[in-house]
Amino acid sequence: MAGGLVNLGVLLIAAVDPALAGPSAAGLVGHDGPVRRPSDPIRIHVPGLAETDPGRLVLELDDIDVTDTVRREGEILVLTPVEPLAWGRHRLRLVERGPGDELVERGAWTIEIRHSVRLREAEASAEASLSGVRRVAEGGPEDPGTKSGSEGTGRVAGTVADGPWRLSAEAEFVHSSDPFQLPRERGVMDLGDFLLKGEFGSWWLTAGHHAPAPPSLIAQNLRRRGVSAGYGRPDDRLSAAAFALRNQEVAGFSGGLGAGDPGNRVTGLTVSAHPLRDRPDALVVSATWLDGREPGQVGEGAGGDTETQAEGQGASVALDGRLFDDRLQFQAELARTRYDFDGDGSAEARRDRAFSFRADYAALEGRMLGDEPAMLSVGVERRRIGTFFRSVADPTGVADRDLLRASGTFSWAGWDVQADLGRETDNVNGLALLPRVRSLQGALSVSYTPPPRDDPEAGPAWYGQPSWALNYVEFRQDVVRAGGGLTAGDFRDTDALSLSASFAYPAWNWSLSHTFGSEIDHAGVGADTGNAITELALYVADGDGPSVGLSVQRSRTEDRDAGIALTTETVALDLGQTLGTGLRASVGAAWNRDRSSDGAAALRTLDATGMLQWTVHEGGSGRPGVQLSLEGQRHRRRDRVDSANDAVVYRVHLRLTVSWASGR
Amino acid sequence: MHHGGFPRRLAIAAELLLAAAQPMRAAITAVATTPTSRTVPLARASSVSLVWNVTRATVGGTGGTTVSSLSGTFRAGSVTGVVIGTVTRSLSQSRPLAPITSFSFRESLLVPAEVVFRAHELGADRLFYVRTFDDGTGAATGAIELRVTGGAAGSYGVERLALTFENGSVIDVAEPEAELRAVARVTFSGSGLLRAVWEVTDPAGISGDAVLRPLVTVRRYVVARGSIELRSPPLPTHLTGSYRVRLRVTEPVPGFAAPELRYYVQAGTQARVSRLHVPAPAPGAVLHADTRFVWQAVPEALAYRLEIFDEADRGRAVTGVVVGGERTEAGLSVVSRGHLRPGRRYVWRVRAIGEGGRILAESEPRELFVP
Repeated sequence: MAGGLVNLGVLLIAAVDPALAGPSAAGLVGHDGPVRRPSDPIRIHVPGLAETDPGRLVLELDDIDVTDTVRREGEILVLTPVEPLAWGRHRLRLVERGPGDELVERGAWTIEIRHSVRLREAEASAEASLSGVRRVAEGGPEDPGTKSGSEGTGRVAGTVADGPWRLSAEAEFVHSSDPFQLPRERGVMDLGDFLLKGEFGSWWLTAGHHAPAPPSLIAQNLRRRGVSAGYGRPDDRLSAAAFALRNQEVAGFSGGLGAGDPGNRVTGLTVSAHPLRDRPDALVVSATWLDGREPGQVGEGAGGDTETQAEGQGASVALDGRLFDDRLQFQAELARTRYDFDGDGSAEARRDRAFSFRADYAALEGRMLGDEPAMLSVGVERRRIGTFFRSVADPTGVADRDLLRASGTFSWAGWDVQADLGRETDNVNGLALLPRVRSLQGALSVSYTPPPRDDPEAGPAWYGQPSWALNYVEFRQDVVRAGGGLTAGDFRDTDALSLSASFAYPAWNWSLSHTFGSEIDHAGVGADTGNAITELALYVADGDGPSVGLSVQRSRTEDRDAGIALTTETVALDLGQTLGTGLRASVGAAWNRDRSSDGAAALRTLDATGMLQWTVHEGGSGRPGVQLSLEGQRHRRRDRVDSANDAVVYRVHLRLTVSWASGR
Repeated sequence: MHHGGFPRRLAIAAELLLAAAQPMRAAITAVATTPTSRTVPLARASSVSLVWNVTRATVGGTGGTTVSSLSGTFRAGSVTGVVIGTVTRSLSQSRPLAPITSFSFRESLLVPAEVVFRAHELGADRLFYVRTFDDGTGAATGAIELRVTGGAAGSYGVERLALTFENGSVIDVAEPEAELRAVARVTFSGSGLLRAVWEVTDPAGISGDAVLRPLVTVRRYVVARGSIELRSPPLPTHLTGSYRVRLRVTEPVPGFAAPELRYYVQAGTQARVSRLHVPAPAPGAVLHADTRFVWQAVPEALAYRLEIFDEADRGRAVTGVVVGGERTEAGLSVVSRGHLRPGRRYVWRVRAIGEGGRILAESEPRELFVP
């Protein structure tokens, strides 16, 4: 009864004063032209706009408040995007704050930005630069190479899309008149990274450099050249992908799409599912299977065992979950591998298994302690990886470890504390011929960044915005079962302590750190060592003003068994300055000294670089740019142990560069 | 007349004549290694650095001045055990003949995983790396003992070194003044102190014999074997042209050549994006209804865009605000704050936008807490 009287009252009031009856719905005004383009103004008709307090209206574009950039034209709100909008759909929302601060939505619309009626997206871009280089001075014993030459780069990218389908391509190219500067070390042009992708609804096909397999116990950092195809977008509850990648990475025009060599290929399948419809992120189940051959560590950018040419298979199943409003997160994984070390089957292939489990709980998630929020999380990890567990798709994977670890993190009022305790043993498979070593590790990290001054307009204090940090690691190893020539007892102890401080100002910053540590070998396998390293860094950059970079580093390493100390000192200075319109200069110098207390090493080097660059013509969208630069480098080497290594090498080049970019 | 003296002098002269006519023979008398033994982990490769100490003694006449070893072999169980691997690298030194001469040959080799595995399969708890040194007149053999252990007890060594750029690529084309870093993933056996140096070759020194200059020295204790990631300092990108970068590990010495990465800096077609200074709010600040985001004015800016991202997903802004170029501060309306969940951390940044939507400056990302 009372509620009905209130509603009647509202209607009566509305009849008297229509403005109090509630806002009328706003409407999106149609666009000029057949389609809405990225920079086209967006018009919204708002009835009664003239009578509306402008401070009460909020316009959002993709949840970003753009009210300040909107202008009024009578009863029309006009939004001209400050940046061209991306192709596809965008959300607009107009909200009015009522007299009682209640929020009333006056309208919500979805707009589509298109290239044309036929295509939602259609764009292509190209960039290229080409330099002619001429050496004008040289000296020193090293071969300076050819006197003149050329080099350059290029990038192309393109996209077309409409409806459910989309095609995209991007590629980088490099050119050099010196073939040894190219990945293949032949020819005059080569290919860098490239990626081709086709999509149709939730189906997709990819070729080029990419990472189709998620991280797991059997695949890590698996970004290679290859092909993959699959179903599912990031938001889909079910996704699957099949892939064929080159095992050892390749660059350049060699290797085709990366999947053609069966002796250097990993093929596989990965499936991921979100079984909980209401909370898809609460649980993710994934499985990966792969098969491949490893031709040794012969890939681009990699060095290692070139002799072991193996083949193998791997499979893993994993669960990722979140509970209690995401405060508890856990991951569990089971995996098996089969690895044939010699690849041809003459020696028996080895099978082994691994499992890992990790859980992290956010005990405090922003709970206010005093005036500051506090975060506290604790975690536990258990990982057991068999002695012969090895995957052809994870060359960095470390096997033969049984690990139990606990960790904690606390942050509050500028303080951050992290602690870690772990226990690990090897010889997981209990092989009779091998010893067993137990490792205990503890780590502590503490940092403090005090809150800045209350008045930001006053600028920082004379000491800047400081930040302090302390890191300590202690590691103990014991032989708990003899074997392999090792007897039970202490094996190795290591500890390291690091202290650092940094100070930041609006246009410059500096930092200082000192680290010292030691290692004691109880088993006579290696030497007892001590190390101390001190570093000082300074950086100044103020818009178009001068830029200064200074770093000083001193390191002393002591072999306590041999009584020898190695000292390395490095001082590097870089200066840059804009001299005028289009004219920029930079110089750099790096001094380095290595010496040992027994006189076995005494080497000093001094490297100096310099550049004077004149932008003859500024490039832009579709307009070529021209630059002329004079570049030089001088390297001086003094070796007091072997004066035959002494040398002074210098090279000065004149470079003319033409660049061009198409723009969007 | 002293008849006994002349025959004796004749006999001595005859001996001297005979000695001068007889060739001097040198012989390798001893081959030893420093260290005498190392441990290698089962089923993994490991680097071993050793010194071959070879002693040559000469007896009369002339002999070979060069001492060499053509190859080394891995043998299971003993120095005369089954051959399970071969290293086809020759070692050679030449010295003038002397009664006793000592030679030192430094060698860094990678013991392949397959070799260690084969030794274990044959029931051996150790293998030997054997070399024979010969000066052409006599040879001797030496060996280093390699004891097979589990993963944690292996001698300190580098198994693998892989370089990429931060985006995972092995070749990069970069904008001028771009912040570019290399990442080294180093796999170790054992524990110890890592000594390495990041080195780069600039365009001026890249042709012919490349001139490398050091960027920064790395010193780090590696514990509990495994893989670590090392990030290089910002690589030079102010000069147009070709560059190379590498991480040269000096301790432990790897048994393979240091890999290199190539990158190319193209000529700039647009002005670089400068750093935008934001005095407030401070990193890690708590968001309140009256919190103001403050930044320094950027010449030619037509607008400023404040974006707030979820800490776990920085691909798309959760909310934000765009204001005109005449402003240097902004707050979040109640509508914008409604997109933020209480008790979560967010990351925010400000961009200065110029003609045609070009980004003129950008602030460093900062954390923000919503109570």
